Amino acid sequence: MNLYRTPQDPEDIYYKLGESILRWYRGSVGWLAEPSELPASREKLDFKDIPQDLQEEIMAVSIRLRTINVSSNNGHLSG
Amino acid sequence: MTRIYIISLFYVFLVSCGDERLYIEPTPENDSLILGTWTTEGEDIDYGSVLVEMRLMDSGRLTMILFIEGGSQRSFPGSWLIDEDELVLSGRYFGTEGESRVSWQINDEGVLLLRDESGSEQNWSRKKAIGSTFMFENNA
Repeated sequence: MNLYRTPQDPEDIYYKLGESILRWYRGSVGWLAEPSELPASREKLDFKDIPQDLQEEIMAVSIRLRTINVSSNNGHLSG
Repeated sequence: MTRIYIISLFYVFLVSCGDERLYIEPTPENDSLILGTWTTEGEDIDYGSVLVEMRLMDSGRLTMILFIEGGSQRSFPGSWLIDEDELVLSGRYFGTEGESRVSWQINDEGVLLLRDESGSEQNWSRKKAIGSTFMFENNA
């Protein structure tokens, strides 16, 4: 999986999904996500190294946008 | 006489093939038709075979369940409603906004077609209970 973090903000998780990048960060009510750019300084992560609650969220996003759609908008995924 | 008969048959065939006969249009009277359990499936490059179940309950609650190859599953609670001709699905499963607005149709084969504003489509088949077991109908 294309999961990354940066040494500067090691709790933030970046996920490359198609042409889109999503960044998850901890908010007051749990994980929040926003569209992002892939940081230049990054290291790859294993899925198992991500907190359990975020694993579920990433799995849902991945399957909802990538797996069960018949077609997507030229690889640009929304959501 | 034969010619008139053939033309009549052709006319009846054309009328029966009209769009209004192929789909159930989303109207308030038809909203209840979307109630129930729907499934769709796909092949994910990271998770393998995935089956997704969407349970739409008449209370307005929903549950999305992911069945992953190997036997694991994840459930995501949420809610749903019909807003004019759109199906509005809410909950953590539906991404950063927590909401997905899609147009919907049920075709003449009973397949639920969902389409979002980007043009992405999903085909969902109704899951039917037979005795104590389930079977899938109209695999998309």
